[in-house]
Amino acid sequence: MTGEPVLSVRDATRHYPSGDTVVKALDGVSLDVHAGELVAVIGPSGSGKSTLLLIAGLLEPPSSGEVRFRGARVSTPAVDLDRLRDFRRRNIGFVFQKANLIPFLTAGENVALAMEIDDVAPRAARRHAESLLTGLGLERRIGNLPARLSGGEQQRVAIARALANDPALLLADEPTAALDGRRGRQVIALFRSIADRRGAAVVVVTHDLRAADYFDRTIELIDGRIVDGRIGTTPASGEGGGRSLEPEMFRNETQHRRKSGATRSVQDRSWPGPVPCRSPDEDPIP
Amino acid sequence: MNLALADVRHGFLRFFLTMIGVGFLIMAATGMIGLYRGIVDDALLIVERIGADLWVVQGGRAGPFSESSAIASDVDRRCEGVPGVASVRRFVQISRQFSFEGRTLRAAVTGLDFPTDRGDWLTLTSGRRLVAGHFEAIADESVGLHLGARVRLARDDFTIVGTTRGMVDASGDGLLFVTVADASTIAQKRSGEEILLARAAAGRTAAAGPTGSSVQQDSKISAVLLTLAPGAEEARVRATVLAWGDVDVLSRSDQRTLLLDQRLWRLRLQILAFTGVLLVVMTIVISLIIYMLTMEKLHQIAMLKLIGARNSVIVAMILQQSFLIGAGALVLGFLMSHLVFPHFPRRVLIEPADFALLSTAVGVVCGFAGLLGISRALRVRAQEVLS
Ligand SMILES: Nc1ncnc2c1ncn2[C@@H]1O[C@H](COP(=O)(O)OP(=O)(O)O)[C@@H](O)[C@H]1O
Ligand SMILES: [Mg+2]
Repeated sequence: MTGEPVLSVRDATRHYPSGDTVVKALDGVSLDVHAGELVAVIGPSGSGKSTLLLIAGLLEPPSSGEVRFRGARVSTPAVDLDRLRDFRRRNIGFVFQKANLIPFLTAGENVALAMEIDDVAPRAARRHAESLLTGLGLERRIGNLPARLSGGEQQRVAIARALANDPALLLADEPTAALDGRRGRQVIALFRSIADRRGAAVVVVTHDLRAADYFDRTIELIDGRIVDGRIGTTPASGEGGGRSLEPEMFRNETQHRRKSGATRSVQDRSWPGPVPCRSPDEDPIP
Repeated sequence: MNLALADVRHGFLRFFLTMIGVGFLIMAATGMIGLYRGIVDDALLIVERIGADLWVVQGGRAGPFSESSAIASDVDRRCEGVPGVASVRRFVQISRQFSFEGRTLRAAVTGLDFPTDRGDWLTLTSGRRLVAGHFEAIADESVGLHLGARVRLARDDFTIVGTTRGMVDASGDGLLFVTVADASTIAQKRSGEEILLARAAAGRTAAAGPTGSSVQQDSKISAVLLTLAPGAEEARVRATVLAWGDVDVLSRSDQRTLLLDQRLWRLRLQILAFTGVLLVVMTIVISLIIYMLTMEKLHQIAMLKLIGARNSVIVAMILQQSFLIGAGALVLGFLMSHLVFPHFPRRVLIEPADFALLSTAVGVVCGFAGLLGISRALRVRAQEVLS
């Protein structure tokens, strides 16, 4: 893959004091993820997977090392993360084990909110949210409150929300843990298509190795260290012929969005279409 | 979309009940302030409406509304001779309890100096003013007498020929207007027992020596009301009357001061203190409610931070919710006040300016409560979503 990686974690450590000792949740991890890449992070419980994601997602500062975004250093041990909120909103999407939807907003509003807080006009945000949800097979759920949705549906709404601002980087922490195997696989398939169609760099922490075939590569963490990392390798998957162009368009669009004043339009952003299926027996969107 | 409104819509019943709860507090505060205003207004009512520039009262006393006042029966004629005096009216007011159709009623029997004063300064809700010198009365509706009713006072039957609304004395008893002559008769009329007691007392004092009773004790006229001729100098009239030595002169503003700062000051202070307590309670309750609402939403607030919402989004949500509750409670409190207080036995006067002030206070309280919630919300870290 040519060009700068979207995400580049350099030699990051994270120490937590625990009584008299120090827990090394992360112990010198480096990781590059390029646009269009889908990377799995696996490892036993307590190995530092979530910590890595928090540091990559600018939610925790590293104890040492740094995080670069398209080559620019954004997070260091001294960083004030609260000031990176705008950056996070525009560039990073998060998905967690729990959907964490706002309970008093409908599915559509939950997704639109992510855009409204980024100054998209309410009507445009609403329309884009609807098209995102429709693309995820939730067109009949747009007006429902989260409490009325199944776990899988909630998770898909959360994914739509994470995609709302067209982030260059999508981070998911065990997004399938609360879903059954089939739905879990569908969600991973969804991430695959997000990487392919949108050119997003996607990092997924997962236990679920049944969906391993979707990932471009897999990183294994043990005791805060990478044991099986192939940093910077080109994705093994041969998919996505036009992928190198997509991030470029995305970047230009991002640039344009930033300049176009307080209220931006989402007319130029649309869901690329139905999610492709890996095998005919698996329909990712029921 | 508006997060605060969406939350209110989602949990409408809960918000509505909260608003009703706070609304009741606002209603109580409105009632307290209104009661205060009502008492002041009632106390000043007769002083303001009767249209006297000066009150000539018993010497050394603070007028008929503060203590008992009795003046010599010739004071009115003396006053007529004072230059600059345009009109002279005698004033007498006595509280009486009497039975009517099996009920015991109370009224402040007030004398009108017929025929000079037929009650032209009264606003009648029905009937007419006094036309006969005797046995006619104008009753306030609050006394409980209807037009045409016949009521026995002293040994005479009075016919209610007119009614007024809201004319009460400082203790809230409705006014019953009769002629001064009739009022004096009613005042003089004592029960058989009173007469016996008086006789016994007279016997005792007679034995002890000469009676110390003065002319004034027999007189039932408590004051004389003067209006001044245009251009007349109040100070000169006052000096002339004071020179007699047996009376004092009070202006309208003296009466106001006496009533408010002396007769009613304890009550006023008490009501104001209660209003203060209520405002403190209201502050605490609203603050707690807003704080709890914020605490409940900490998870969502952390999520908002995680997806990159600016602090302004969070601040707006909390403040808007706080002010929504305040505004809803004000509307409900206002409505409930207007529904409930007219049925209270004493006047509760809801002045727009007072309610505006109360609204401002509620606004400040809501703002303060909001800030309390905001200070907590801004301390939440985005990663708390994950815990
Ligand atoms: N906030 C924290 N304070 C103290 N220790 C922590 C904290 N977060 C994580 N840890 C520790 O760091 C290690 C890695 O945790 P985590 O990244 O959550 O692992 P994983 O997600 O792989 O299960 C664990 O031993 C955990 O106890
Ligand atoms: Mg974890």
